[in-house]
Amino acid sequence: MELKKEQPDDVTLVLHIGGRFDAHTMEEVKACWRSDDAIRHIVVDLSQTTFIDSIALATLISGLKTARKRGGNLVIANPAEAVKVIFELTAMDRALTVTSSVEEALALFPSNDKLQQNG
Amino acid sequence: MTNSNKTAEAYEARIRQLETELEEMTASLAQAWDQLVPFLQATPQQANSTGDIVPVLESIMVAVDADVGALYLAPGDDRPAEWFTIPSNAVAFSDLQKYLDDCSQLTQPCRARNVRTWTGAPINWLLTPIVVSEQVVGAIGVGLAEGRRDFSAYDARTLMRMTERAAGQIVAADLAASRVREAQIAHAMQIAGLIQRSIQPATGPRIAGLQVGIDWQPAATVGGDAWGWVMQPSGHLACYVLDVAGKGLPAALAAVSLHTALKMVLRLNLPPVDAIETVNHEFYDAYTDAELFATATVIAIDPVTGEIEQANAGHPPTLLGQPEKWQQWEATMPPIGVLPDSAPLPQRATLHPGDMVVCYSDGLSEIETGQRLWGTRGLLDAIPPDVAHVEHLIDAVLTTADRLRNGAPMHDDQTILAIRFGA
Repeated sequence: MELKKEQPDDVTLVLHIGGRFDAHTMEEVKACWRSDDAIRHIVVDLSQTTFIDSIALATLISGLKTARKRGGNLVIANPAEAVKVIFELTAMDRALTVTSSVEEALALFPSNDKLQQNG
Repeated sequence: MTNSNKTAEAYEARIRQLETELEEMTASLAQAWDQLVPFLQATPQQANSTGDIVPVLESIMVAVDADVGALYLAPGDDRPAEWFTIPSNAVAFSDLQKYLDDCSQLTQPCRARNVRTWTGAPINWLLTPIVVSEQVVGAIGVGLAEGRRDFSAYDARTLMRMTERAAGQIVAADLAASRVREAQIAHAMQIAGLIQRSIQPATGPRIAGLQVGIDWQPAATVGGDAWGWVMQPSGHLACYVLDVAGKGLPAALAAVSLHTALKMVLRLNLPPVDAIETVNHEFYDAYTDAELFATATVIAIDPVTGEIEQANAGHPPTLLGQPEKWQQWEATMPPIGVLPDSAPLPQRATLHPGDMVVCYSDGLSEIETGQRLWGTRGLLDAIPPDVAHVEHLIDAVLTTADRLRNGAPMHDDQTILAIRFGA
């Protein structure tokens, strides 16, 4: 797995996950939002993900619940075709918000969050 | 006498002196070794407490001719901190602690001067930490009464060497304890596996008008897959296959509890949709805390009319119909534990004689075949077109799955349930 992190502001985290996202890599992903309690908006870019298993899905749900508990959300951006099929088969697309790009995902988060932290 | 003769005599005298000193040193070393041997022979190979390291401390005291000695073991996983001195009133731990803290950062022994014994006698100490896997786990020190002599480099080297021996005892004890713990865990897992197997039906029910076949294989001693069946008061046969995301004991515990809960609610005559909605509501908080979720499919069949109803929460599609005319019933709600208030949609049909229903877990459909997953499509292709018995269908799927793995171990639990109407 290749994991890249971006933090456009204090409360938002963008994760780009490439390659295999599975039981071997879930702890590294979870640590991204566990290590900073201020993070409440999470975008997970799965456009370069080639494989995702049920443990990875559980990791995304854990991130979703964490974000909602903190008053935010977790949004999936541009999932690769193989990932999209898994989301549909498991009906996970009914629980997760899925967008076609990272920019679209970021636009879903309330702008007053960013104003508050800038002000 | 010439100058050269005088020089030769002086050399000879010096050589004789050195030979004498060497003999004395050899005798002393032999004597010291004789004194050390009983202590070293009494030293256990493993150190579980200060008592097991005391022979090492005694041998250092003999080797350096020390007046007092002290041994400290920091608290470990299964043991409290321990402090031991020779004689018993040599020194209070608190008096040496600050020096121990200092020497734990050093690679050489450190010295503590004029530390008073309980009787007030001043002692000069030589202290060194016991280091295991780069962690300071204790310390050993020896002391000489003030005014006797200074510790030499030989004393320091002896103290360090013997302390390494004590560290070796601790490593051996930790390894032995670790082996015991591993054996205990393996034993507990075996019992958990037996319990899990005992509460799952070994075979399908025998019901007129239906053939029911099953194969359930955990990837390890215990598994996150489970299955079960119940004859409902309404006369329907209710069956379910579930799969907890995760491995090991937590997943197995979650699978067993969900298995039991589904069985109970189905016994109360709840239809599949209500059964899944109920267990989702019941398990949501626990699954959130444990960061788990479970997929499940529940079906209820009237063995007389062939009417079938399904509810599917995140589980791979149920196959329905006959070879080459399969219908797929996909999940209509995310897995159990994902959303607090969610319910699946009911999916209903009427089976015709010869129709089959196949439920399976992702341990089968997610077998990796090169760059791709085997998938539902691959599983369908493995079913022979003329299959007339559920056991033959299951055998065909499992044989293909084994061939795809090519001898590699199973990475995930696998379950397949097949039902034929109008047997």
